Amino acid sequence: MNNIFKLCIIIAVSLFSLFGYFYYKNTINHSEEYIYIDTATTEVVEYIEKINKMEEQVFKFVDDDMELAYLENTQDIELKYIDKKGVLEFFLAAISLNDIDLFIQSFELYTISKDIHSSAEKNKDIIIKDLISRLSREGKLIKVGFNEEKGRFGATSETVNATFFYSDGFEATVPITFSKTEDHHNGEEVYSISTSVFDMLNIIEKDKK
Amino acid sequence: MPATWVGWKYNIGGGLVSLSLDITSLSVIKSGGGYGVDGCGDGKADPFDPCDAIYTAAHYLAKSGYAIDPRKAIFNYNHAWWYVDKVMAKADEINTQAVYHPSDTPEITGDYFMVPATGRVTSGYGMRWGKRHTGVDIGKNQRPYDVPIVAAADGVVIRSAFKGAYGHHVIIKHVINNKEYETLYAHMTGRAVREGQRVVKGQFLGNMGSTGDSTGPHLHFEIHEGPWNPSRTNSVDPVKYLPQLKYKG
Repeated sequence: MNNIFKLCIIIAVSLFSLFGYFYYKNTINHSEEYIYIDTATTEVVEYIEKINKMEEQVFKFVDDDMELAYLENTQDIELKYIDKKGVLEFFLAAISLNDIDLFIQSFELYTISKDIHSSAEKNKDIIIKDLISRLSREGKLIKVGFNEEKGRFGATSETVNATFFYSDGFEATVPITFSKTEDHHNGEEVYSISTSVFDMLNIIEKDKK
Repeated sequence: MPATWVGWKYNIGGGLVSLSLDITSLSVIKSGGGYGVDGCGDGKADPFDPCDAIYTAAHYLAKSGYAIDPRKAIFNYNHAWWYVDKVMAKADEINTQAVYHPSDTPEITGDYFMVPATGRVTSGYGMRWGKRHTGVDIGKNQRPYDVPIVAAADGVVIRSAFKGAYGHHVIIKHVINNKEYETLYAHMTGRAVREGQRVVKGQFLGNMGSTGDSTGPHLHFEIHEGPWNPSRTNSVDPVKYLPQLKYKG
């Protein structure tokens, strides 16, 4: 009887340990990667040049009513936006290049539209340049730690913890939420950032003080 | 008269034709040299279908030399000058005074440009999908009724055409704060404005459709700083110029 009781305890402890191990692996496992702003910028510029070259070739033979939306995809670009990390790379490149259009493209449209209309300034370029400057803390941003939390049984969360590292040693961790949009042109789903820039700045500028 | 529609070779007297003759048959009309046109593309030319009737009237007037002398072309139809005066007066009234007010129009806002249609923005400007999309798309989604498209700002229509990937499309030239812009509206079911026409912000241009290269009914809307060109090098992100997007659908 005593041996049976011991055996039950051992089995129970083993099962509990096994369950705990898988729960840990699948629920609170963190995988931190770093996105360096210089590397991301180089890659994004290369991708944009690819698209520009493709368009140059196409315009040599299409008529003037060709709508660019229906050109063949440059898969490298598409692959970037179907992945949260890829969107962050574009976001960082936009900051590095001070590229207003690229910056807008990183965001879910309704989110960025609300952000740029938070000021009465009619010239939205001025507002976006100010946002870029504040996010980069005037060009000091060097990398972002990309920490994608895995949910139960490997399901990934739509929110990642992004740690912004600056050249003066300052760092701030910002939760960034992504949303998916389906493109009716080809049925692909792509990610964009649905966290307000002002929510990011509230954390970065609060931590700075 | 039926004989004018289907061809005078079928005339049995007084411009009438035999009751057994199918006057909607395109082959019968072609054989008779009639003016009947299949305007709505359903395979027949039905004089009781307004769409076919309008196309047929236009065909008749064109053949009667409307481009050179409109009054003479209309006279050719009824041989009465009082009738010509009446038609011309009514045409002028419709052309200059009639205003169509469709339902589900977007709110006219005080910004430089207004959102040109209601509905959710389904595709943004830029390279999200591995290619350059030089405007934004606003979807019709599951709305079963006609969804109107309106002019985003005051301006002059410089292009109203059915052509290429844009399908039925309109380009409007605007001058705002001494700066020239052009806006483009594509994939409409038809066009309610003509080239050279002055339009005001919020004026009806046509309904959302899927003409041209389109996978479903939507508006493809572009803004250009300066003139539209085939490479769309003057295109800008409409999100920067439109009021805050609110409709999520």
